[in-house]
Amino acid sequence: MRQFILWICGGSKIDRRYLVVLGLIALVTIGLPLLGLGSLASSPLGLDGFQVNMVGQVMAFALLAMAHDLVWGYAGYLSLGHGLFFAVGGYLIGMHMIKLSYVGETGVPTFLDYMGLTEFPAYWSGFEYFGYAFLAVIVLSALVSFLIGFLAFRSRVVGVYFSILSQAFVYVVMLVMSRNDTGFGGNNGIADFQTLFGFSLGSIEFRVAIATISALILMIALIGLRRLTTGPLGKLLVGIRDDEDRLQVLGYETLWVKTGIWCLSAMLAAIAGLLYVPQIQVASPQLLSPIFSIEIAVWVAIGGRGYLYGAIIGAILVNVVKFWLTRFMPELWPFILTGSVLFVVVVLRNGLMDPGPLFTRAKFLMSWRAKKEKV
Amino acid sequence: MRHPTAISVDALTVDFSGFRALDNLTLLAQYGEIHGVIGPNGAGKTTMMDVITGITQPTSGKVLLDREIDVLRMTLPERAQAGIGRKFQRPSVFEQLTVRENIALGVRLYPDSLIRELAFGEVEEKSDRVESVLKTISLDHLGDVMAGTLAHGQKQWLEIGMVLARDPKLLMLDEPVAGMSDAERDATADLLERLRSPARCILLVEHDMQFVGRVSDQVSVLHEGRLLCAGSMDRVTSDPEVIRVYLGR
Amino acid sequence: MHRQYLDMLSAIVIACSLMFVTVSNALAQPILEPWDRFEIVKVWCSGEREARIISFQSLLEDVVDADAPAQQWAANLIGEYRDGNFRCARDTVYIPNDEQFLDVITGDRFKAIPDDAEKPFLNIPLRRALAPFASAVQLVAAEAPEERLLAAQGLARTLGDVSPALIESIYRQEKDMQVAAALEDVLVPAWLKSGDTDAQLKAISTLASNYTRTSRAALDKFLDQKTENVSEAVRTAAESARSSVHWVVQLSEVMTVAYHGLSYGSVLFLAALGLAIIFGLMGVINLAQAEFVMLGAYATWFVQEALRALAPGLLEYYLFIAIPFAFLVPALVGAFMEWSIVRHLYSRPLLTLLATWAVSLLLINLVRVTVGTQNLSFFTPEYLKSGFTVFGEFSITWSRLLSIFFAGITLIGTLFVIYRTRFGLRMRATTQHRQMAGCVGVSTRRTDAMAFAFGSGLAGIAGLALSTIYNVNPTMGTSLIIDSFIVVVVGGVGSVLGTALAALGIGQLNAIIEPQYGAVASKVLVLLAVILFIQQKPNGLFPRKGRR
Repeated sequence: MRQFILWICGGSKIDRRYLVVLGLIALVTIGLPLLGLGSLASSPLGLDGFQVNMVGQVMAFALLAMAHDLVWGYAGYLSLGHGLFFAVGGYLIGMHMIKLSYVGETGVPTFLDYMGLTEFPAYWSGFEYFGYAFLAVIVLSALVSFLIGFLAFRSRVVGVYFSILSQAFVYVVMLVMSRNDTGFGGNNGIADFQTLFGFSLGSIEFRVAIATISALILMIALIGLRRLTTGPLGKLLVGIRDDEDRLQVLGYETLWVKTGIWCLSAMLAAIAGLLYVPQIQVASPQLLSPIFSIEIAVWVAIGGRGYLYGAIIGAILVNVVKFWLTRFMPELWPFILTGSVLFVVVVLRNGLMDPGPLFTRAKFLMSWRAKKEKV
Repeated sequence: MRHPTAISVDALTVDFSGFRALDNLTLLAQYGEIHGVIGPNGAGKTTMMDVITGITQPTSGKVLLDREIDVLRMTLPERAQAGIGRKFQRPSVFEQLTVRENIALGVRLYPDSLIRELAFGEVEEKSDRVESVLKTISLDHLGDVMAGTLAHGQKQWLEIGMVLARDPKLLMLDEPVAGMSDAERDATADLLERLRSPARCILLVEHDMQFVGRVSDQVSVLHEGRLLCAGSMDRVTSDPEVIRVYLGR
Repeated sequence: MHRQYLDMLSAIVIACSLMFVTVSNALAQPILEPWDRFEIVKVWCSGEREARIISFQSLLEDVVDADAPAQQWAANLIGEYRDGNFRCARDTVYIPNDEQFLDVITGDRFKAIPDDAEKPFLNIPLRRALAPFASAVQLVAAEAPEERLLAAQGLARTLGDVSPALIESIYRQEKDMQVAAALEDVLVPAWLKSGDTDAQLKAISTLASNYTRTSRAALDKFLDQKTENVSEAVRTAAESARSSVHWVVQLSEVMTVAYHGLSYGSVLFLAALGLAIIFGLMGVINLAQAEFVMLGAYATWFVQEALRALAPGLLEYYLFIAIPFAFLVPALVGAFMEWSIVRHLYSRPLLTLLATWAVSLLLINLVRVTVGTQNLSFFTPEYLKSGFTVFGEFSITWSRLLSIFFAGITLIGTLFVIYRTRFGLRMRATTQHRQMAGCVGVSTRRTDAMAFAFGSGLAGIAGLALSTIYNVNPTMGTSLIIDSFIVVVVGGVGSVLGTALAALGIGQLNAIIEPQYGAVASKVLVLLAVILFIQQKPNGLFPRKGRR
């Protein structure tokens, strides 16, 4: 048993926090079908479609945050444009679902009809097969990220330059996709999906299924990335973060390491998008909003970077609060967000996973008080 | 058959937008020797090392390993793979990793393939080499300590160890005893003696004349980016040009 | 019997005296107002569209022969009608005049008019048909050359149904040079069509002196027609006229693009300069810079409102009065931000990025919650309205010129501060070697705070300049932020001249691409160009010199 736990933790130490988070996700994976569909569904603990949907969305966001942490927390590059890869996954699965609803029929959806097209353009062909769509998600996200990463890393674009450039990228793509004549529904995006894998998107069965799958994939990804980063690759990444020149002069082709990690992160983000869009039933340029991409970084910052599970916690926390607030007190949300970011960044050095500075400050205050009282 | 000349720098020139750091520099160093490189500040010593490792691009000139491998055409990692190792002027160790992990990074079980290295190059497999390097640099009792907590001198040794792990043909040390106590200096001198080998050339940049005299076989004096004089320490220190440059007479 | 004679005699006498009065009246009044005032206003008030147009036409014909006072009356009448000042009553029309009302038929003044006096209905086609007639009547009637000039220019824009022959006859008698030239513009189409060589040549030379696209189009149209109507001499004249007009038009189009590029570049420069300084000094990218621009614009608005309430006489100069406020408000906010947040994050630029983003969000929402999301309305001072034409199609608008002016002043001022003041010296020392500067006694904390405030104040000035060109609302800065960063990246960190050049370059690129391909394409192409540029020069145009 201990061997198994060590294997899951990767490396040679048992990391309790990691196991707790992993356990939490496992709980969600098991709990969702039980509470949503199974025997407990009608009990007071049962979840309705809306709640299941919310959990599923948060799972997808957590995966996205983890993908972002891989690049920021481990390789040291702050991406402010990860929404781009998220959107790749989202739009492509949207294309699959659209094609599904037109199998065996003629005609085109409104957004293509609007452009004067009577048939699906060539690049839509094949999307009626999920396998093809999935492959497209992986390949396209890898390709796009390779292009961006290779160009950036080769020109030694680092730090804030890299971050700003990533923002510029996602902003420009958003502008392009917002145009009606790009062929993806412009500002409204593509919607009107009905089914996926034969399930109706709004049905409770589908919602539970996709939310559970999202949680499962999150769990598998967490374990996989954990093992990856506690192995030799992890050490290498620390080296890159610390002193990349030193590593290169030691003989490591850091360009490929960085590009590889970047592409892996992009693919994971795209998978997250693939899980997300069927849950909100629309793929629109909202996914490409520069502010959304910055929010991803905020999730990781609040949770704590460099832990993987920190990003998950951050994503869950922020999005649950956001869901709740936007329902009951929408005006308050931006201020809460702002306050949280500032608190986490200024007071806590590295998010919730490193509350050290808070405690040292608290301890200092307490000892100062004690001294005063003594006198 | 290995050519006795390990590294040859040929008419190397480096211009930093108006400032000429290296001016037609020529330098030769042989296998089996410890070759000191000295000169006043700004003479170009570190710049020369930067060019050899690839951090700086020269304006013109050639650098050849073994008199045939054109180093300047290679990327930084490729040069390391070809056998060039360098310890930087400021101790550049990975503070977030332990001493052992630092050295392990220097060990390449699969120098040609990064992927195989990552997949199969577990720290355990490298441990023999790591332990032997640790012993050489006398840090074996500090194996699991975080590199960031080491003293300045220890960091210098650790960095030498990291570079050593790859068994380089050309070992370049940039000011290894800067900021060290006398005892540490002695230990470093011993270390360098241990590192001497017929398959290795050690280039040593230092300001401490005594130290250079103690360990070097040959010495090259650089001044304003050019080679002023080369030879044994005695010969060089009695050269009138060198005296004028150093002592201003 | 006597009685009957007497009655007949008195009837004849009355009849004769009536006739006499009528005839003498008719004779005494020369036929110098050959129309019936009442008839005219009746048709204009309630007649059918056709009837009204016929009325305009006949009025125009008649006004040529009328005497001066009658012409004046006609000109005034049609002018007031066009301007919508008619109040139609049962048997006359009133027009507002100096707090009273004028009866157009009798000329009497009244303090009040019947309640049922209402405005006649003029739809758009009618208005369009009316305008040339109004101009023509005023052309005939006006005494002062300036008024005739205005009328002629109006006719040059649309001749409508006014007969060219009439204009031609007026033209021949016209003594004022400017008015004559304006009338030539009116007559050009008729002359070109006439088939008379002299008239055509005259038309061509008129067109040749107007370096506009419309002129070129007219010449093109003329040259396109079949050759029978056109003699060789005329054709050659037309061709040479066309090529010279074309050349000037092209040149002026190039100048316009350059000018727009310059003005957009000025705006970019103002917004990016503060960013460049802060980034160069502290390695901190301030994502809230755009919001400082917004604060500067809002400060300007507040100054305007304050002046409006307290010193309306100074309202014209609100832009200049607002300068210190537009600078200080963001500067103070920036100093506070630096002290409370940025100061703690100096060694961690990536986290600073997130923190400043949070501040930008905070500022936007604070403004949104306090002032509101609507666009603020700004009063346009006289000196900012319109502009003037330099030549051809190239005209300079004063509001754009203002932003160029501000940018120029800011550039010089900033260079002065950085290179000639002690504060600037301290800033430069801290930028180049922080620790050493601290060692020689430069208070790096204070320098950082002041530099941050300085950079933020500069952004406020950008907001001031922007308020004259773009809409002012809480999110006005967000589209600027990415462009500003690109400018900083291209220009080289911390370099004022680099920022200026980069802003100019990107502004020009934008001005060239956007009119042809649209705003989105221009952003895409600029980004691609910048990425290519970065490959060649990863540290910008003016990177920091020195080793490693």
